[in-house]
Amino acid sequence: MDIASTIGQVQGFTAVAAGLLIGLAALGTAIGFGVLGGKFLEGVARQPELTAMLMMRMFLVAALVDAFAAISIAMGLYFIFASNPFLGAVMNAVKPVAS
Amino acid sequence: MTTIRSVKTQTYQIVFWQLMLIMGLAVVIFLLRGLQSGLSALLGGLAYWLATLFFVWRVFRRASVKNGRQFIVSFLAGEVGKLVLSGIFFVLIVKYLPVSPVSEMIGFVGAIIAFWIASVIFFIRHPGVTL
Repeated sequence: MDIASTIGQVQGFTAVAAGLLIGLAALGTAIGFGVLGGKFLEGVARQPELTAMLMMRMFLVAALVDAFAAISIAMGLYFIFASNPFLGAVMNAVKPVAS
Repeated sequence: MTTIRSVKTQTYQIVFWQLMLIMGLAVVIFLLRGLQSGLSALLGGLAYWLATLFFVWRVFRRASVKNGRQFIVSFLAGEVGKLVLSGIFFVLIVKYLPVSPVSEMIGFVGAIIAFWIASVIFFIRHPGVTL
């Protein structure tokens, strides 16, 4: 019963951690892209002839903004769908007790 | 004068350099840690690279100088698709292929950093392009 409870706790906390990873990354990226897109439209409205140049700059800054979001989302989805390394550690610890 | 066509070409050149850097990183990991780790790093890098390629294709599919708002919509839709696709590719590779997760993560993060390095390489090779 204790082992089942521990496994449940690990899975539950991992789910919360994965949710926080994806959610906070999405929040930060949303704020970043909101500011980026707003400034782009502002720049285009002021000087339409600079649109193409601003696009290039936007691409480069977007790569900086979404970097950590991509890593967080990949890690979060990995914990949820692929495998849970923390659960593996628990299973290794209880193996000698069970056998 | 920078045009949309030139921006499209420049962006695809940066993405090409990113692929070269991902392959270089995979070769380095292959030499240091063996075939499985090298292959894992390559697959992790390709997971992000394919998503980036989708993003660039999605943005320039209908990009127009006259309509900045349409560009922003394409840009944000492409960005969402990129993030979702990169996560899905990453998980599918870990789940269904015999890869090392740590090496795959190194390849994935390396691909992200490779985009920044590719941008620097591009601007060194094309000093006339304004940033």
